[in-house]
Amino acid sequence: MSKQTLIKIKDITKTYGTKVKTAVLKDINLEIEKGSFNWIVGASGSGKTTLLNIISGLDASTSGKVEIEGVDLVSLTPNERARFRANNLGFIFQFHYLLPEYNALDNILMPLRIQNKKIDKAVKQRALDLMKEVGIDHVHDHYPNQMSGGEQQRTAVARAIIGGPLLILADEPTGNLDSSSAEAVYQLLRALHQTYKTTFIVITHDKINPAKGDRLLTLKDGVLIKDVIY
Amino acid sequence: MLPFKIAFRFIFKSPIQNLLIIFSIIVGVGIQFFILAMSGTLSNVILEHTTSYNEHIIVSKKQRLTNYILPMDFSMKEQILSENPEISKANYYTFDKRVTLKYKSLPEISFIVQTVDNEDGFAFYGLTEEKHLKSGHFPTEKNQILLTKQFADQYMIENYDWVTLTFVRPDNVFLHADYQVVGTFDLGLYRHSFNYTVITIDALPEGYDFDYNSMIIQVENPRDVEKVAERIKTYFDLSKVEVKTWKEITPEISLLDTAQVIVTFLIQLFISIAIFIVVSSIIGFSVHQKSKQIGILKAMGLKDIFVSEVFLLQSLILGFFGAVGGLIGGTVFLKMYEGYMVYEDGSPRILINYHWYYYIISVGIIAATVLLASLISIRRAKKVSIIELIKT
Repeated sequence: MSKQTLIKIKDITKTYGTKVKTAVLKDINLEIEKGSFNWIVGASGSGKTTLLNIISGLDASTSGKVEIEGVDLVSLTPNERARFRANNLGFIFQFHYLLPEYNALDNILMPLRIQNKKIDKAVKQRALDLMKEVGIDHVHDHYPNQMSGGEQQRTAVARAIIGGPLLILADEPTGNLDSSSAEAVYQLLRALHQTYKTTFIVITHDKINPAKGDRLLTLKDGVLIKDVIY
Repeated sequence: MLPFKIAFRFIFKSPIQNLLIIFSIIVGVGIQFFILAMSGTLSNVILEHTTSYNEHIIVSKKQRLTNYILPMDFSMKEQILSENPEISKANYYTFDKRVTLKYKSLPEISFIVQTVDNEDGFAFYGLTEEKHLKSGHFPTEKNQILLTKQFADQYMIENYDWVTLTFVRPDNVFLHADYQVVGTFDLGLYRHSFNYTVITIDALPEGYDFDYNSMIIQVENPRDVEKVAERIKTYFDLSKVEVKTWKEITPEISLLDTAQVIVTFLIQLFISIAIFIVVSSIIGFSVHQKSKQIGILKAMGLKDIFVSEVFLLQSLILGFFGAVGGLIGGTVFLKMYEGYMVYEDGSPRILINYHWYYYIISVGIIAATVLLASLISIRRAKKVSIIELIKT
């Protein structure tokens, strides 16, 4: 069975500044397969996060085009883009970014609420099952400030996956964790990928075992210098 | 529903900050309400004390036309009354200042007799209301009169005593008539002079060459007297007659009333500005504090409009509690003020008018202020990109 392309990135450039222009991304061309697990690595300032933000529609490119499942995010209105993000994308940020006003369970349910889905007992049970799967069912009623860094990040992972997104974008998800917690989170992401077959793009600084992914993309000074498929 | 839930969650998770917003709104609404009710009441008290039971419009012959007699057309009076619902009372009237009153052995006292065309004129001057009768009874005979309590007290005139009024005819013939004082009255209003009484035409001494020199009119709302006066002018020949309102006769009272309205408006404006600065600063701070949450929610796909709704609802919820608290606080404070400002006998010096209009205006001004402050903060937050918000 031929692999389907989920993301098409064509001639993407991103330049900051008007008088003094700084090119952060230079002519990036890339295709990401559906259901693949992709790493993006590179030094600080290499343009990893900018690329991720452009893929997710959180940022606009200076030129070029990004299509996810054939949808050009730039051509969408802000509301359509928001709806697209709600229905198709899951985010995991470096600093978990949980809502401090909500407990772990409610944080996880938030994407479903944004998707305007009815939160009934079955949905709550599914969220609790997912919490169990990521190992945080014991803190389901804890608020973010009552959880450890690892627990917070696992909550963020569960939140990213609950809505059944096409694509999960993780920007240095372990950047704020110690090495053992970081390894645990990576294992979790891989396990979820195996279970849910969702496409993952994970940015990392950490030394990773590339074999634990399908593809390793290396950026340097805004240029994609290496693309290894395993 | 989601914005509402998020708004509630934001409120309950920052109780001190939100209590501070509610408190500032309570203070704002309370002060607005206090000033509105107090100034409105005082303004009405001044107006009432100067215009109640008094002439609001006087139609009289022009001074230079000494031979002109105002047509005493009673059908015209009825027509004016029926065609102008704003007019509550109208009477033909003569104002005679050249009368003297003689009582026992006292020297003659300068006195004013206000003559009206029938007994409705007594009602015009408030002399049919029991509350104004301080002693005795209302006149039942032509030769019976009431005196002001102040005048009777000053000259120690007792009820059922007789006084002699001396009228001067235009040809300088003196006419004397005896009247029995059957009671005293007090309208509770400010007056230049208390040396006066009101009688009907048939109580004047025989042979008095009498003609009405004015038509007097009372309107429902003395503040809008000009509109009625303009219409009254159409009934008369203005080359011979002049129509004056109480505002023209006592311009200082009208000026005082206008000044009070302007001062109240300015105080309200400054309070609104102060509340706006306080509320917008706190709400602005609150929006800034929640920037990261806004960024997270927007990244997850919450639309801009819902984000705005969250903060608008938050402001409305806080505004609601603040407004209710402010109105209750303002009312309680006014009640306390009423209780504190009393005469020696315990009766209140001032009765505050708790008009619904004051409640609506106070809440309306603050609601607009809070909404504007929120919208400005939200607009500012909306301009910032999701990435910047998350980084905050």
